[in-house]
Amino acid sequence: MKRSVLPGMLLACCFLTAIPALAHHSFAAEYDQNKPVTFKGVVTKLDWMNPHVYFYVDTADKEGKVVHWACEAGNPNALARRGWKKNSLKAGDEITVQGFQAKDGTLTMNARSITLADGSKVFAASSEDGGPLN
Amino acid sequence: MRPALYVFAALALTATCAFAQAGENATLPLPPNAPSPGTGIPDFNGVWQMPYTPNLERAYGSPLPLTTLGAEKFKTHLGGDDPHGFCQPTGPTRAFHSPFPFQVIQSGGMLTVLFEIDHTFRRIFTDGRPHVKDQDITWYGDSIGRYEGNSLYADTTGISERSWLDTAGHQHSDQLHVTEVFTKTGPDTILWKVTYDDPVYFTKPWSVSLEMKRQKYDIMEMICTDNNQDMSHFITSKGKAQ
Repeated sequence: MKRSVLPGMLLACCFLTAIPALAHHSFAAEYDQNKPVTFKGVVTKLDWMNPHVYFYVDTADKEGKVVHWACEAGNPNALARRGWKKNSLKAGDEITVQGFQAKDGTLTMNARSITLADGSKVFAASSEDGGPLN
Repeated sequence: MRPALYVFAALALTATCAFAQAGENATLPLPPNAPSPGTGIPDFNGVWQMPYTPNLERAYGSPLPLTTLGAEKFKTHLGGDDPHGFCQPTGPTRAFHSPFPFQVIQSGGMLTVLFEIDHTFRRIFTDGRPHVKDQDITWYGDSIGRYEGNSLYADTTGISERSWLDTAGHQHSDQLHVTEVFTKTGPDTILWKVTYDDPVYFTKPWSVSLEMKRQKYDIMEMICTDNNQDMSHFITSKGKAQ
């Protein structure tokens, strides 16, 4: 698994569905739009909980060492109203996730695009939170 | 009387004295026990949602009339300072234009709003009572209202300065006076006009109007503190949150 960093403009082309991801705080409160990240990894856990869905991904850093990312997605109520379910993404799924890293430098990200191995997207987000525009 | 009962009686008396020393909020009469609203007033019952409006300035259409203090507060705030990021309450109006629906229930002398966001509620008394005297300052303030034609006119004071008006970081003082007009414009639409008057933060009262639309789904549970993992990552104007 390889982690790469892509320009924000490229990421912006990948967002499809507008769901306010960060309903209870602004994007800038936590995330850095100048730190776009993209990586492939395996989901280890999913918390389908308010105020935001969190999922955890194991991936490899540049040295090949396994690292653990905490990824924030949209609000579960809003996602459910769009037809997503708590098992739409589950432990063991291989995914490619794109988003923006937390300003504090921890391995925490706001996930803006999640793609499963078969190419389908889940929990597509986001807009209206002050983050990079779709 | 057994000794245990003496202790209980003493504790009860102490508690009564404590209430007696509190403001009128602690001894408010029960909610109105009046007949159902009946005919002659607009029917606002149902589940509704407004367009998510994280920045009220966009709805206002031009820069907000900020005082020097208001402008300074807005300029120097950081997104991480947002009280709602820490799951603190929205205040009376921000919940309306959050990205969550709400249920309106009209009963005798009262209109109740059940907000999905934070699983909280707000009540607007329509039984003719005045504002609470010697008002405590609270997160949602004290709301009274009256029906006129197709509209409900609501008046709210006593709102804590700890809440923000929107996600963008527009703030206010506890002198904020909120007036709202809810107008039934059709079977599935309500026009909401809100006016913010706060001489500490704004040079003049200003208003925005948003439309509520009837929803076909019920409200859901949304407990903000359930799994708020964001808190430890916020960058606030006082440094990194703990």
